[in-house]
Amino acid sequence: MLLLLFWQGAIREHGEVYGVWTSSAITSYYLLIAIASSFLIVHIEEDVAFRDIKDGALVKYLLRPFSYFIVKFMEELPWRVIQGLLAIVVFLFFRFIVGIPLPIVHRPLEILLVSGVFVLAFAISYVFKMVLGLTAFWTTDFWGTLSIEEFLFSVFGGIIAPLVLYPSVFARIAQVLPFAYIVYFPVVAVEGMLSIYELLRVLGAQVAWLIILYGVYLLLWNRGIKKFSSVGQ
Amino acid sequence: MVITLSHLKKYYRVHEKEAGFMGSIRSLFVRKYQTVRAVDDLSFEIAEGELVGFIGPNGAGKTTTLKCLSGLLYPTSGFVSVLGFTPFERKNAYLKQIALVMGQKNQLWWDLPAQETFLLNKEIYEIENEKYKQTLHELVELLDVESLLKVQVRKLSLGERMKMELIAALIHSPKVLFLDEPTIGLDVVMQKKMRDFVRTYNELKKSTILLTSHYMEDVRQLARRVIIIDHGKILYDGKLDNLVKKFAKHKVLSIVLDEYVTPDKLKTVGELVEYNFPKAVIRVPRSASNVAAAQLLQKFPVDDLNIEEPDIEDIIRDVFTSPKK
Repeated sequence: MLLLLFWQGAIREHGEVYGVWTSSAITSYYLLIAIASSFLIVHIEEDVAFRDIKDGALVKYLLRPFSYFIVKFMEELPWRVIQGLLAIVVFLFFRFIVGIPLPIVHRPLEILLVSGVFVLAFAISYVFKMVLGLTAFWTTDFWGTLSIEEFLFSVFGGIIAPLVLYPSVFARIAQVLPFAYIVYFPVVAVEGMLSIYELLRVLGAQVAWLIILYGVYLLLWNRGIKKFSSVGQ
Repeated sequence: MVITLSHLKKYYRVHEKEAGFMGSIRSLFVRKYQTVRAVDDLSFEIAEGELVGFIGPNGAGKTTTLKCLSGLLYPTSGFVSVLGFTPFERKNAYLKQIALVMGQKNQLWWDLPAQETFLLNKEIYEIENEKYKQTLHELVELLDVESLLKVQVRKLSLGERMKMELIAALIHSPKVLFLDEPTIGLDVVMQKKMRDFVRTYNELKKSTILLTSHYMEDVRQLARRVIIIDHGKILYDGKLDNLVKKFAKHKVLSIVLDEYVTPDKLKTVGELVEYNFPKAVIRVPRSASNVAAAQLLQKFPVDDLNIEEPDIEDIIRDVFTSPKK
């Protein structure tokens, strides 16, 4: 809300920003960021780090013949589905009851590509958060890591402001980190701000990040599990 | 052999921190570590169907050994094989054949009734419907928990929860069962029920069971073979009867006297442990028990005399507290 008020004030003062970011555009951006964050940003890392690794509840999973990666995904999925359904309700409320214009793509090819961006965004979010949680094998206490991650996500994930409004250095850094591909690019994609070429580029980057993050996950899991001492269990 | 351990070692590197604020600051820059040798060169083999008692004082390495055998911990060095598998690789085919039950540690899903967890385990372990129903029926009958199946686990008492933990652990009919202090915290009635169940299960299913316990009654009732471990090393591995012969340095002579004898006179025969006329208990060196018995019968008006082995708890205590070779 504070950020929205800030940008509304800046736009009133100076007119449109970059010819695109009108008062209406910035309002719909922040609303869509809030809606998309609710179902795209996974929160499994606290469970993994605090409950499973630090408190030893990982024992319950290690003794059973299934993949920890898949089981934690199944534990997280219902929360995201519920949040997603609520997000749809909120979207419809603001769009049709409050009357805020929330532009979304409507051409079939764009819908298909944007759907892919959303699916991959969720996948990246999940794998990234699992990687984050596994760092607790080495740090034990996870609060510091969590705080740093939350800060980086809000800055480079487009939560604070659209990345195009950043100084070019910061915008370039954001482009090479995974955060923007979890929330920012899905939101600008669904608003129709990306061309087909740009959508394909985002999809390519998302696939690359998924492969890299999954590789890191496997490395951390194979090394971390050898350090696990199941304290308290 | 179902279980083979050869020179198993599990060491932990733990950080030592001085107390207080300055200790915390110092530890940010200079860290001292010590190596804890939880398991230190352990070797043994267990055949199919054996029920082995694994005993030792706190911190001896019992639970660490069980965790290495069940694949939870990665050994520092040594060879571990259970059912032909390397436990730490935690292959699904291996995990489907073992179970680890830890006393007072909950592995059930807390907010679900026990039968939901059993159904969940049925799917996880890919148990066929008919086999699942038959096994569940057997276990529920043996443990007498029919009325508790639909109750949330969080609402059960400790003893009831332990029964459900056992069922959940055995629903997939594991060939190897690791029981880590399964009777801890249970009342004497429940302890006996648990022991009866474990014995019956071992006899019926011919499963291999490795049991740790601080209660000697568990070991006495269930295990024909015991492994005693302390500071990560084996002190004894063999039959329970032979344990007494090997480690009991004394025998106990219990006598009933016809007439009063002063304690000082009784002390000439051996160590007077207890004297409450007409009963007296005298401890003598094992090799001299016959001679001491003969002396008592000759010198004193003895009405009744029994030569007994010392209590197994006392023997074990002596083993734990004596200087290690």
